[in-house]
Amino acid sequence: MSEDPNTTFLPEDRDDATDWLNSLLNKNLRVSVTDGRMFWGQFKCVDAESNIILHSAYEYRFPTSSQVAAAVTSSSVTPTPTGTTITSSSALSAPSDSDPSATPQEAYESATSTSSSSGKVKVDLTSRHLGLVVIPGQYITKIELEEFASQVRARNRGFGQGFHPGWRDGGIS
Amino acid sequence: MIPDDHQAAVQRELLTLSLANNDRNFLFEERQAPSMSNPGIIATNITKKFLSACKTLETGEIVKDGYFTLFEAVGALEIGDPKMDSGCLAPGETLEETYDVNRQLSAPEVLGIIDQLLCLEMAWHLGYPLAQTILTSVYIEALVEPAPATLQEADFVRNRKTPRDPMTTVLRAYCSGLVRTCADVLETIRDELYYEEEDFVTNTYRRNLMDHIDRYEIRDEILSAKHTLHELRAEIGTDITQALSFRLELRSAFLRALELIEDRGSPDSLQIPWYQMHSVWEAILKLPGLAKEVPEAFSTKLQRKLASSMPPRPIVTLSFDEAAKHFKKLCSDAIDAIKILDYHDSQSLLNFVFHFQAQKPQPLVYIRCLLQNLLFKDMVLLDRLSIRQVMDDDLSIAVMPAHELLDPNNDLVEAPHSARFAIAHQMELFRKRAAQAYIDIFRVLCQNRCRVRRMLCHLIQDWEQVQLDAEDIDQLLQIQIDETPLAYQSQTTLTTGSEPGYSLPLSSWAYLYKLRLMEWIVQLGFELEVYAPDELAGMYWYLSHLAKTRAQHVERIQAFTNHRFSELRSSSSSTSSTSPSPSSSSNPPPPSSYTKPPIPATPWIPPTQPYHPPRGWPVSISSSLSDPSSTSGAGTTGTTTYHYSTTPEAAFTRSLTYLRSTILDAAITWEFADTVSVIYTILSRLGLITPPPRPYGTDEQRYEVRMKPFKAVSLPEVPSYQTWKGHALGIGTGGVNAGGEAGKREGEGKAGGGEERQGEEEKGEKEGEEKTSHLLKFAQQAVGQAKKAFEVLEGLGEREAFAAGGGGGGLSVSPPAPPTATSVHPPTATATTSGSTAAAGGAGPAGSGNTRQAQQHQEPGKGGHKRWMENVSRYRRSVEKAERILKEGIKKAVEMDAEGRTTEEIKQVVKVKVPRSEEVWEQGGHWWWIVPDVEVVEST
Repeated sequence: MSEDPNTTFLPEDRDDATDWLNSLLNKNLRVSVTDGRMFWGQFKCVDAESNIILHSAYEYRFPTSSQVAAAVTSSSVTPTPTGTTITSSSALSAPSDSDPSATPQEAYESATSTSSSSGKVKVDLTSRHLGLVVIPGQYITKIELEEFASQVRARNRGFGQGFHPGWRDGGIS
Repeated sequence: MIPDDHQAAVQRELLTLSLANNDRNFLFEERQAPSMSNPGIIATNITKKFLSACKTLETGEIVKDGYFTLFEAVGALEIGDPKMDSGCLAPGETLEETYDVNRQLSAPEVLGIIDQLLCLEMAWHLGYPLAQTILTSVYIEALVEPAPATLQEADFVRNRKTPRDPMTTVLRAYCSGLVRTCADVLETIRDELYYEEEDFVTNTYRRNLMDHIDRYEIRDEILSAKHTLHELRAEIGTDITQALSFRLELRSAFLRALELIEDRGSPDSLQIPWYQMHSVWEAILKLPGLAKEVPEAFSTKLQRKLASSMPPRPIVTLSFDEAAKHFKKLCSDAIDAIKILDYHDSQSLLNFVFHFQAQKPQPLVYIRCLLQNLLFKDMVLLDRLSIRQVMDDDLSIAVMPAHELLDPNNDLVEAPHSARFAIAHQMELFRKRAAQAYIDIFRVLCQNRCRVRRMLCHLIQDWEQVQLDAEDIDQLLQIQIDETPLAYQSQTTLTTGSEPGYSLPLSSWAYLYKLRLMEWIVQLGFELEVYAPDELAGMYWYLSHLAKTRAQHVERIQAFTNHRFSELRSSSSSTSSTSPSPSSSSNPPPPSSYTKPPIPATPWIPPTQPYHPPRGWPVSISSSLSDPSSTSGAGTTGTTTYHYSTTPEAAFTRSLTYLRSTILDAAITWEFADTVSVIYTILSRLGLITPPPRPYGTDEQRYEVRMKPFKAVSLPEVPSYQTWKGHALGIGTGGVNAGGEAGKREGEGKAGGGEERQGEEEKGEKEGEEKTSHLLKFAQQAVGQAKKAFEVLEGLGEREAFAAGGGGGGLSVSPPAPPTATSVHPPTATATTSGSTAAAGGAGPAGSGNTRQAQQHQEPGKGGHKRWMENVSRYRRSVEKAERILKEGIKKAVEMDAEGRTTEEIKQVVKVKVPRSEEVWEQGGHWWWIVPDVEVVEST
């Protein structure tokens, strides 16, 4: 089975597809939805309409343009303290292969890009704990799989067997 | 091997693993949301692959974790559904609140915001979540989020560059006070037993309520805000300055009140700030109409930022007048609650709690938790008594005054062969066994009314068990006592025809409580409208049955106590000066001097013993108590001789007084319950109350359900359905007294329980259905008896009624009554502000209130007794109502029935309505007595 995240399954690959989905269970997913929010949580269940159930989910809301603007003006002096912060270089911009369907995200990304033009600005990513959530497939714009850097590295070196056995087998052996 | 940097990365990753996956704890657990920018974690976009993989699934097929059940999935929040997803934004809606917290505020606007906050605060006290109340305020949100480390930091705008506007200063001081009080209230409630979401919502949505900031600092801040305000006086006007500073004072006093409760000063000092708050409210209400509302400073949008899965819900709106009413009630209830610390005896304590909680409307949950806090904090009752002290006091009042079992010196005996060593050991076992059940009575009474009933149903099972265990301990102890020659085997004559028995004091005590709790359960059923109108006849009969059982049981206790008392007296007279030694130590309840009982084991029952079950004793009660000059059987009169039972005599007198008042209470309960039961029997017999069609159940099944709480109790046995039904239908209910014995009964005063009951059982079956007119006669007599007993009851002083002590209480009257509601009756606290005595106004619409009012005037200010009197007066109004309808409506109906009129014809003339329990309350009656409204309408 290919590890390329961009491959797609054809209807006849049904068994492979099911195996692959099963391998994702209990992993942390980041699911973005049409209104611009992102949900982070443990993947528990999915059905044919890609209604996804996440356990221990958190909701992340990207800063609005006004917040970013405020951050640009004020935080040049005081960097924001700890907590959930996001830099323009990490997480959100990391998936460079962002698919074109993620329209609401673009608003955000343009916002960050304006700020990043003036240097690196940290903006609070507001988050909330939600618990168990079901995300209807119709709202989903993007799904990301979280992995440890070590897993990815190990896989890239050709150690592991891909996603299935988990990072321990892949990384430490 | 793994390179070093790699290892470090793994460690970092391990640290960022989210550990707590248990969702249940999330409400109270502070957990940081995982960071999205951790360099150790890489997110790969798998959207296409994922969606395509899903497409290969067939409809209805799912991929799921084996340990994840679809049942759990039902609880999942659906994202995008505006009813469930609080973060869901309508198109074009912004999350941001556009209100500028830094804008200039005028004084009326600040007043408006504060008033709105007051309303929201009360709504929170009433049970709405913070999210729908004060956390909807933009100002509060700005103040507490992000959580300020110090009070200086707490401001609507952080790192302010320009000095604060004076009006904002006032608002900020007020808001910090408000938030801090909420934190304290919350803590008090959380520490006690309450029902989440039923009584109160303690969720703070992970907002820090500044509980780490010292109250002093905040009060200083409020004080300086008041100075600021007064400097502006000329500018903004005197009235509004006053209005604002009153509100600041209110907040400051509230903080002070909470501080004192935490520090526990003397009861008097605890009350001061509550008195202050109450009078500040009076002042606030004298300056109405100055505020200008600022609705835009409150927004449901803020709820989206809270740690809650709840979608935005509307802000709870409570009018200012309503909030003021609740707030004032809160203050006066707090004042009353604090009076509980003024302990006199265990029964007064119980009555205090009972009557305090039986108010309508019930005190708010904060007050109920405060009461629990005052009662049990750190398992020290009322801050100074051990559970043992209170229990021993109670045992001494109820069953064993001046008893050697309760002698604290027993504990000092170290010789294992000594009987007293064994006694101390066994008593300790018993205390351990019974303490929880005993304490639970208080705890249960502090819950909301529905819970009280429900929990009492569980509690009687505990008491059942306590009683069984106590029987074992009693048997062991009586052996020990036998060794010290105290003869108990002389009881033959006490209960007619029964075998000689031991006194079994501990199990008697437990049984007495159990019976009382059972009566409460039935009566709370009336209050909570558990029973349908056509069931009332049967349930009141059952109540009367329970009350009779209790009366008989108390008689038994009384006989033993009397016996011991007479032994004590005869021994003290024979040994003259030696006995009730004045040297007794200051241990209040069980006198330590009572160590060697030189009892000649001759049973001596005075020939005039008024305690024989069948007849006479109620007469003796009435004569002895209504006429204070005559001596009761106990040989002591007056109400002041036994404040603390420091001598055996005093202890006996106190106990006998208690037993008498209990019997009196039980007698009233059964007489009146009989009355009401018969009233309903007559009404249903005449077809004036008809059961609704019930195609899905039988009366017997319903009876099973009604009696379910009592099934677990072995004694008293639940009567069989046939017995119950028979009584409910009036077969033999009035058998004894209504017919031939009617006249005789008059002469007897009150008929004793035993006789009546036996009569019922025997004759009931023989005679079959009583004539309705006989039932009427019976009811009229019963109500007459109840009324007579009332007159005695009303004459009881606070000590006799066991309603001593500060705040409230009442006699062991099992039908306790909520003291009058705020609306009917200004609460006691009015005395604080205006000095007016609360009693006068609401006392009684009923014509017969005169004697009662006189009573109240004699003893004003004593909260406990006053509340008890209020209870009695409600009770009395119910009795009078029953008497009236028996004389008028029901008599008329029965006559018409005798004339052979049909039900329809009777209905034309006599209108019957079974009131709701609330209506009963509003009419001034007691809602444990649902007396029907029966009116004669002259038909044309």
